[in-house]
Amino acid sequence: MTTDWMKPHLKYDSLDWDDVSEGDELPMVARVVDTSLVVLGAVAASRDFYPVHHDRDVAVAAGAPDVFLNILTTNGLMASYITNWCGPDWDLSSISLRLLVPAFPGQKLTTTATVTRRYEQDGHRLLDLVFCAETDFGPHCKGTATIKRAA
Amino acid sequence: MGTLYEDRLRQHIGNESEPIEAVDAVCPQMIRHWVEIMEDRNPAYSDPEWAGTSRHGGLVAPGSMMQVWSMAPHWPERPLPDLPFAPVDEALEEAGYTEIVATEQSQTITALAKVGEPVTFTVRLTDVSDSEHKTRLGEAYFVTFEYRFSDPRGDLLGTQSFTYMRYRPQTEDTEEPAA
Repeated sequence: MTTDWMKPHLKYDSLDWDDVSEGDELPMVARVVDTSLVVLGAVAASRDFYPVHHDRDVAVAAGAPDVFLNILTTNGLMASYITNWCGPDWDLSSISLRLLVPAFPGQKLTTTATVTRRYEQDGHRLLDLVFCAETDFGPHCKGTATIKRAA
Repeated sequence: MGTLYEDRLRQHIGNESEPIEAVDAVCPQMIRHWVEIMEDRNPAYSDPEWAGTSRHGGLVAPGSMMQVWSMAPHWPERPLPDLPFAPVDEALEEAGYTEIVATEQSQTITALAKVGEPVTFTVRLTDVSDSEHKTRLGEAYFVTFEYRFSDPRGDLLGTQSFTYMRYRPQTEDTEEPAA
């Protein structure tokens, strides 16, 4: 398995415990939602073959204007947003989200998060976060997550 | 309080499937499909050299990806033990709640699945709404179930709670006439 070409794009350094405080905001990340992201997220990444995520005719018949992001992709985008920020010494220990406005092609998904709690427990250092991904038509999802690393 | 109809749906709450082994063992190919779409930069998923000397002891799959190992094949249909939400699903579909949309999910990640190891999971029905809800898309019921994912030694990898809504799509016929 050769992944040398990926290495420049991977993140090897991690967020330092002393460099984070409650109330810190993560850098905003914007991602364009297009049909490719919807279809590849559902079919390639998550093996979710439910047709409203890859077949516009089926989505329209179900009352939607277009195909829309599946929840596995939304969850994956949010999880990776957080772990791309904190780096590989941290583990995502929980993530919870509620879907609001569906994400359709042509929208921009703008994700933000805030550290709500910084604490130690059972030999681990933990951060609780709240996150939100906004579309032009309102929030696509809102949720909470916890990351941890050995103390 | 639920009616007789809802009581019939809710009698299945607590039912759990037999353990089901995922079709594919955790593999770098499926991980990479995930990583490429999510643009995930964690070397634990993509750099065998780094992962091998890390606390993971080798390449692992993202915890956020756990449900992917449970997804049904496109063809042919895979015979599965009776899933606990199937009778609820069928009853709602027959009653006209024909469309499904996911609304909520929550994952607790205990350990990361290792490349080469198969994942086993169970599914348990944890809730069905006790009354019909009026939603933007139409009248709906919410169904919640929980997956538990384990490694080949029986150790827990994580749990995932998942809620979907089954709704009766709104058509012009069902809309209130304008006053």
